[in-house]
Amino acid sequence: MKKINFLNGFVKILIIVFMIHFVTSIYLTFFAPDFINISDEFHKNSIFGYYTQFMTLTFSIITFIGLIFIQRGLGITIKNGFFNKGSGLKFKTAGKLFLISGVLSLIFDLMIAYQSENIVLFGNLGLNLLLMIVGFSLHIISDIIQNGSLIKQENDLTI
Amino acid sequence: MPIIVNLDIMLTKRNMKSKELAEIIGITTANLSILKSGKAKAIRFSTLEAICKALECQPADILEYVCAE
Repeated sequence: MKKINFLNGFVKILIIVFMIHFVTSIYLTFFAPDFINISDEFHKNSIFGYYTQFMTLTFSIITFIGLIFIQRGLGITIKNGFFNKGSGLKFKTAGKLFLISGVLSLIFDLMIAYQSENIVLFGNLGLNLLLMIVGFSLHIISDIIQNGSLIKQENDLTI
Repeated sequence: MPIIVNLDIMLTKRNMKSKELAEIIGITTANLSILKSGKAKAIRFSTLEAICKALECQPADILEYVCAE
């Protein structure tokens, strides 16, 4: 349980970092647009136009919601033990959100990399694939937890 | 569940209380209550043996199969 507590603390810190990232992004976009300094030409040429700059923020929000679900799942695990239905469901939702965020980010980054012909942008693809693997792993872990919960319940009801 | 636990009937026949039986066979009254109410998923042979010994009966006196249809 010590490791779960450590992970819970780490996820909480990550949630705070994400919140700071959102606030900073919103501030820079709306109150200090010169700081980012993306040319109008870039926006015109991209598929999503002006909204291109908000796409990564949207994917971050999906990942952020996933993180909240992980934190809640870890909280339930700390309270009720490893095998329970509640944490299994939370991890499953988090896995789905990570998978969605990873796939959308991958597609988006591929499009941007193709459009800008910048080979450096391909570096992000690895991170997106990693996010997808984490999401899929969470999905599998939630299945294991739910099966474990069923076995535990049967064991508890064996007199 | 088509398996009925007739522990209550046997307890009445032997004039024994649930608490006494739980103490003799070495399980908690909560677990005995689960067994009596039919909520139990399974019963260990060792528990069944202990119940049969305590109540001087056969497993068939405690467990009964009733067709679900």
